[in-house]
Amino acid sequence: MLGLSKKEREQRAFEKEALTYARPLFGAGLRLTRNEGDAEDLVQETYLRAFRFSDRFEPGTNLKAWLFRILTNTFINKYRRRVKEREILEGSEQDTVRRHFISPNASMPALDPEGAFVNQFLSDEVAEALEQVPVDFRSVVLLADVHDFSYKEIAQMLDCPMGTVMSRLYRGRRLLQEQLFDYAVAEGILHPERDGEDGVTADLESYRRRRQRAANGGGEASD
Amino acid sequence: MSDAETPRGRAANDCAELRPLLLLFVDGELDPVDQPVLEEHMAACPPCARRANFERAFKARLSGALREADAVAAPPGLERRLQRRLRISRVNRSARRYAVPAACAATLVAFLTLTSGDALTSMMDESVKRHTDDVGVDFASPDAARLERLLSARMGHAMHVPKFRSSHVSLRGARLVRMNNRPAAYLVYGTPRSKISVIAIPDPQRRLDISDERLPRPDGRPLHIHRESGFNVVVWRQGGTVYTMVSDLVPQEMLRLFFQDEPAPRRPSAPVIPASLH
Repeated sequence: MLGLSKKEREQRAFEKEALTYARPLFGAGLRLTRNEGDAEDLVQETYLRAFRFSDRFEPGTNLKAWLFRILTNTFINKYRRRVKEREILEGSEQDTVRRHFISPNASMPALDPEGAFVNQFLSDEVAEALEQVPVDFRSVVLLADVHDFSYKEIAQMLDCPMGTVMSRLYRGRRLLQEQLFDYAVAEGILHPERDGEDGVTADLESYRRRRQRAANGGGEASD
Repeated sequence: MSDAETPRGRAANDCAELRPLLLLFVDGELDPVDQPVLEEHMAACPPCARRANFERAFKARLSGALREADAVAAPPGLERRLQRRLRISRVNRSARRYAVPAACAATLVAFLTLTSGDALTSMMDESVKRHTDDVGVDFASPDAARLERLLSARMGHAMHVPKFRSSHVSLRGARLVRMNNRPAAYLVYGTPRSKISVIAIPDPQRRLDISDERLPRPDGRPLHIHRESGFNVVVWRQGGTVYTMVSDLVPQEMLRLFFQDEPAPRRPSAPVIPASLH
């Protein structure tokens, strides 16, 4: 461009390409913060940092991954604590952890091998359910399943071992599936009593028996 | 005989052991070496095969649903607000970077990067949108004088149609539009490979603020060149009319065309474009 140095021109091209990821970044920001205002601030800050430190980006590598890394870092440093506190206050952390303990996940694929029940939900309902998953798990599910990053890329973004990424991803998905599954049952989309031989009813019963045994003061009683 | 040694028990053990492989498989991260092991197991173990199917279907649906939700999640004007915010920070950076170099270069950089308030930004956005929408013209005519008469009568304002005296640029016609909530004339010019859009917005009271105190005004008229969504936009005022010009031409060409337009009463005499760039 007129009057601009080569470096300046490269910077402009870089900025232009970076801005094409504004929407996915905003989407991720919204799922992480669960708040539009925070999401926009987060995206804005991500870009300010990205442009300020653009010389640290290696051309030819994945720009989207680099931007998401900045977004995730910014989120962890500035918003995560706030979001986590809010979630604990709202009880979504405890709720999902409790649910995880109660509903045995083996019943889902048996009941619905194609995962078709998820198709019954509107996109917004799925997004909302994901937002109920505690933030540490949610962020990994978001990065892997929505934005297609590899375990390695996610590990770099979150600065944690790949094993942690895998276990959070597994657990996060499970929580989300259970959330949706329970909802599907409650809404009459799935009928575990009727359809499932080894479904929810049976498992709930064994859970209750276990509880009963525990309440009776020990594990020695048997059926 | 312990449970692990019965066929059933062994299969269950395999399932637990192969669970991490299943996850890798679903995410497309499975090492090819491990692929046959898992496939063999799934062939013999319907629950694990079901689990893999289920996880894959779930992942696909989750991804689709969230992308759908994200596509409409971004609030209107997000990109514009971002660009504005980033421009401000860029100006600050440029200001630092160009504090020392020659005045001429600094002037030009300021020309190219500075913009003022909201009116200007939305005017540029809307101009680019008109340019890319590519709807036809209401009055097709290469005759500038005729279009001036037509437009002036329709708009109740003496309209001036810029005449670019380059043999490559020809007037195609005009269309009545609204810009920043006021009536305006959209003029289309053809070039051999693309087109140029000029939007003339009557503003006799000078309410549209396109000025910027930080801008040098060699001839008393503010002129902005800006890159917006891949196009160059020039904004200027001439008398009681504000003009925006959009094209994919390089800025040198835009400036050349602009200064060729005839009735500018006072042409800039200062070296707006360094000779080396001509």
